[in-house]
Amino acid sequence: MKKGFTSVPPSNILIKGAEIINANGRKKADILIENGVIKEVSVGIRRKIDVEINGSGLIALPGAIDIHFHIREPGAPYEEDIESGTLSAAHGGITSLFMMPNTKPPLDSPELISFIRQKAEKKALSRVFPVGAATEKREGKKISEYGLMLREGIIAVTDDGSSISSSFAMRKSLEYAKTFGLTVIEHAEDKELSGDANEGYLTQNYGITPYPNAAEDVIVARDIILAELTGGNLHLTHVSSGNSIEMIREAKRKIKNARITCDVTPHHLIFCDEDIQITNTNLKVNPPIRSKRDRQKLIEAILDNTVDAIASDHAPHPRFLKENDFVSAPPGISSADFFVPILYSELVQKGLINIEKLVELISFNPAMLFGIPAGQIAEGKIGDIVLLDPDKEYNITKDMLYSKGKNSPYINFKIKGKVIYTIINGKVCYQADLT
Amino acid sequence: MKSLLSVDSLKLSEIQEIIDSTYSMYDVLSREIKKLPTLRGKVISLMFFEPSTRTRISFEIASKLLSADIVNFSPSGSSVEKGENLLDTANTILSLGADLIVVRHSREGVPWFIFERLKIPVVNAGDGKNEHPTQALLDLFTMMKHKSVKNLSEFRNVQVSIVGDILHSRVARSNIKLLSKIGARVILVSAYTTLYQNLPEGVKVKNFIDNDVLSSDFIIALRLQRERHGNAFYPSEREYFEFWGVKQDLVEKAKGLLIMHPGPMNMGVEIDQTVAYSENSLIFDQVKNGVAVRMAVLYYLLTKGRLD
Repeated sequence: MKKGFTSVPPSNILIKGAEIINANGRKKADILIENGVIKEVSVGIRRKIDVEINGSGLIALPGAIDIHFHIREPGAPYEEDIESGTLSAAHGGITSLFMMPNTKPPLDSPELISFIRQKAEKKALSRVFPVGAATEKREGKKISEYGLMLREGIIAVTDDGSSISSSFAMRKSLEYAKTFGLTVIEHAEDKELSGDANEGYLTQNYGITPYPNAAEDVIVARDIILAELTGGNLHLTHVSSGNSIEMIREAKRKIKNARITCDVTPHHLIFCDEDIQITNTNLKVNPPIRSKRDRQKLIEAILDNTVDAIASDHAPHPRFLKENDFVSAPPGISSADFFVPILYSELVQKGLINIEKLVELISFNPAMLFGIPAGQIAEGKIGDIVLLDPDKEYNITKDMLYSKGKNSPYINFKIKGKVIYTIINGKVCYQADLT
Repeated sequence: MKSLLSVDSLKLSEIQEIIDSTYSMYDVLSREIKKLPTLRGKVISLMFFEPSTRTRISFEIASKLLSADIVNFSPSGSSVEKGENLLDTANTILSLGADLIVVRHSREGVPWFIFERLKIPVVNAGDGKNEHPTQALLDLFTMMKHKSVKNLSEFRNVQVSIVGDILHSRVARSNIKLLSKIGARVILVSAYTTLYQNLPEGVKVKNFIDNDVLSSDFIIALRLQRERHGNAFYPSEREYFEFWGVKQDLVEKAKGLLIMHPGPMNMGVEIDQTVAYSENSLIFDQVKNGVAVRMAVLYYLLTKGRLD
């Protein structure tokens, strides 16, 4: 198992006295990381070591594994390159990210995966796990070289940005991925049905082309049927529709021969379509921000474990594209920089879920689903840890974003919870400026 | 058995009888005068609606060596080009006096259709992705001869791995049925994109060539059937060769492993040319044995078969 590609060499560190949060509970203890791997977690560790951090008053979380992340390299590194993308990730508490393949050209060959690996080994802070394009040129027609791409280090396959449009290709993708033990990550969208905003509030008030739940639902239904037919591993990403989440709940209960999982994004949990102003494109996203009712169903699905993960769908866009009219602006939110703080502030502080549940959704489950030796602060796991000050209150401003994309709806949000250190491979890769 | 449409209908005793007879025919082939008078006066029609080298020519030689007269039919240059349908074409051949029809067609089920309507012996020489029973018989004979065994019971527990595009291979389908029937151990090696459900009991499935596969007595490499499906089931030839190609280093690792292939081969796709032409290869043996097996089958159907 390749542990993602990063330029950070393994190192040693001792964290004293932080409150350690794992998916299965919390305790106050010291954490010793040696050679990039968690060596010991216990009270009163004494060791002479290069770097010691006083963690008192901080909470220690296993670094977030963000399974849906866009970097615009190759193609548009000025929008987001591996360096800026992984820096904004580290800033947001993300220590591993799954890089989506909808670059230009799409990551559909071992040569391109190798290119990403080499770049990441030189420039990446967070671990970059490339996701291979499921079909050639991401056209949704013919499966690509999963075996050769796996040798170069892909973690999964997807046509994200689109569905695997041909149902036949989807069947073959599930079968071929299963052959190599890979998961097919599906962006569920029937492009003939989709539009610019959720069918409802905005489309009624402004006549914008509707993007109904149905555009997502028909693909989710098809994919569940094909997962059962093939016995493959299907992961539905950024689920936004209440109907879809109900189908997934039912499928997980009924279908035993296939593994069906899903994630949702922070923005579909935090916003609803009534929050959108026609002049603010920072809430234009694909799939669209849905109705209050859909949002409520997603939250319920988190509570009953239908949802396996929360992923950022970090999608940076340059100002000249995003500061545009609602219809012309490309969909996407730059959301990596405050990923963990926003979730902590909006979900945990507001009492929707407890912090152990958050760790389960952003670290533990992604690690389990994709076989990454992380997601827990425990002996033998990789030394990727985030230290959060749970009480720090502040306003998010545009200049705080390390991402090249400033298209964030969280600007001017007042939040509680700040990433103080992000440790990757046992090395401090991000440290908050506390002056 | 008046026809050989599928391996399904073959009884063990019939398989044994055909193998016995193949051994005799094989001896005939090494005589100076190879011709037997057995089928004198019989007319065999070879209806090949799909291209073929080995199978067509070996049926032709087999018929001639048994002194049958043959009528070669191919769609190009026939009334099929004028739009004559399958049944009318076959009926025409029958009216012209054929005693047995050997048929190959790209559509599954055609041999059954012809047999049911014409009521004369039919040999399935390959129907689409379905079956190719004489190939399975010649593969079995090749393996038995190589092991110097004459009795089917001695072939039990021999391990045969079939590698590659199982789903589109009529050779694989007939071999799986025949080998399971006689109690050989069968391992299929393929991606899930080219496997099918409801395999005979005891057939093992693997995704890749592992040590278990390399411990087989024989590996049958299958032709990647690009002409049937483009590249919709495997992404590329280089990936296919990397993961399912029978390569020299694999064969070197295994002791006494023998390699077969129904042909025509895609070199550098399902098989390495070093392997194809090596001493571990039985590929050219297979072709030679094909004549003997087809002599045995034709003889069986046109003499003994009638006595059933």
